[in-house]
Amino acid sequence: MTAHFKITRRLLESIRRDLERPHPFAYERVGFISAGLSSAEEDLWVLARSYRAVADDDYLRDPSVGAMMGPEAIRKALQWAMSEGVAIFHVHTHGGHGHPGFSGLDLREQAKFVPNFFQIAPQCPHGALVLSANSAHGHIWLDGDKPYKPITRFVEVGAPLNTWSTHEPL
Amino acid sequence: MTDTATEFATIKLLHPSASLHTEGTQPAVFLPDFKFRAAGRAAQMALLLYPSAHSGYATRLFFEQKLEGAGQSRNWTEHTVLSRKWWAPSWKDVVADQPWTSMLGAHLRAVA
Amino acid sequence: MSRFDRQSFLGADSETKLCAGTIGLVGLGGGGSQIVQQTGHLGIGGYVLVDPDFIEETNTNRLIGGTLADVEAAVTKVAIAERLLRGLQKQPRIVPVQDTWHNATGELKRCDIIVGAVDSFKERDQIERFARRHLIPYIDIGMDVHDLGGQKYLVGGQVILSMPGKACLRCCGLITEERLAMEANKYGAAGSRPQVVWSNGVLASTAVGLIAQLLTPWYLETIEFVYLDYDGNRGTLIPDDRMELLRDRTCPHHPSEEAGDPLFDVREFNRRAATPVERADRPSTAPLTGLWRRLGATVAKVLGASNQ
Repeated sequence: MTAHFKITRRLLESIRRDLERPHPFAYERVGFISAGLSSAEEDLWVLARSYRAVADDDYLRDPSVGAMMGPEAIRKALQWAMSEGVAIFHVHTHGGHGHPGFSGLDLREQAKFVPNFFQIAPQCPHGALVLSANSAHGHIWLDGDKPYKPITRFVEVGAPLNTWSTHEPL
Repeated sequence: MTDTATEFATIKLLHPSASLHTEGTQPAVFLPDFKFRAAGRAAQMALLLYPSAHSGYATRLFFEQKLEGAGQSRNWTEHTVLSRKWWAPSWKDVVADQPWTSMLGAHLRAVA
Repeated sequence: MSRFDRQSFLGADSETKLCAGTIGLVGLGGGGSQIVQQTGHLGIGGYVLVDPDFIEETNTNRLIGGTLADVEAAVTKVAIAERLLRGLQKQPRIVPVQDTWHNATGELKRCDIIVGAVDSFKERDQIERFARRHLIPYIDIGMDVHDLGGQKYLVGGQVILSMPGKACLRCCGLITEERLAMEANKYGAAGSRPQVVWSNGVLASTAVGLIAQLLTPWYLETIEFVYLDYDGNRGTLIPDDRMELLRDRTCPHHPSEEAGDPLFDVREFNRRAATPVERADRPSTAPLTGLWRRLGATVAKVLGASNQ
């Protein structure tokens, strides 16, 4: 299975701008991307549609981490998944340039909350992305009960197209 | 002016597994495994009702498969709607300004 | 020395980027065959070639790569295109589809860019919508010859770059419900439309320039909506007024919420993945002979298949 993530440049740039805004107390900002899906044989495309920032008030104070979402943030994202029947991808940025990677904390946290989306919208895969200033990396869950798979190809759709592949041990 | 939610509710009563989508901001009703009559025989397949202008017609009903022997003078054409391939007979003048259930019946007369 | 040295201004890694690119070509007639030839020269590496037709004698005034022998042998347009590409590249990645594009959507999803060189407004409308759902840039080319009366004609056409989120063929006024209705009413009565090689060449070459710009830009200004009007009488290809007016428009006809296949279900995807089915090979593009050619020609006549 090859998972592709496609997003327009306009949407990606707006997400980066939002994630770089300072927060009153969190070191990082986070948000959620909704997406449609498509497939052909073993290929799966995640086609980004829109973005919602986690509201300032929906963060929890935790100076030991970059950002901690509160239950209301997750509830809103779950509601979004259910009401629109969309795939939901958590997103944040590590800044800098080059291919980003998830931290150990990122991996632990996403393993906790991403599978919950399958209770609400089981017809869609869900996942998480981490951005840098010029790249992205992501994980996709096809099933709430099974481990994630890496998103192996990204396409930033604009003029010109920007395509990159990531390689992560399975 | 039809109310999409109301019209879709009546379709759901007729076919509970129907789902409502949009294409080009207009509603498109997916009817999986719909039973109907074609050329006098029982048929069952997915249908897609598009209750507004599409491909030059006032409204359209798309069929998962081309119906051999049914509506054969109707010039079947291929379409891609909701990212899937469909067939549609040339069956004009099923106006948009009517209940969707009536519209569905009017379209099915093309293949009955 | 590399065979692409003369186009090195496209960028240090342009050869790699072009080779890695995959384009879908819907329609391999007069316009599409020119695009095949030029992208083959340019070094694009991947192709999904889609056309259901065989070459006929009336195509030979403009179908690049097609020969009189191909007409005699009833060669498919897809086979001609593939032959042309294999003569220009050592290992092109070619998926030939001798069928309508409606039966090639799986292959087209894998394309970086889709180009439509088709006659029909209905097909343009639906190809574009399919491309938009899959966030694939779509380039449309088309030409027409208008009878002005008194033995005078106007040769016209267009090249449009339709990018996800940006103005579309409906925003441009090229696709309208009226045009679709007129086309639907003419079904069965459509005759062969006038087509000439030089106009197709202008439009196709411009489309190839857009393809190159999307894959390996050579100047800083990025243009995400292109609408060029071709006037074959004056010999001009100039931006339509709407190109500036619609430059920053967010397309209302293809909202971002419609990206994707609305009928997709990951549970079904997982079930299929768990029970893999051997993929059926696409039909051979080998030329037909004798009885099969005559049968094919008869079927084509009965169906009134239009040719570009």
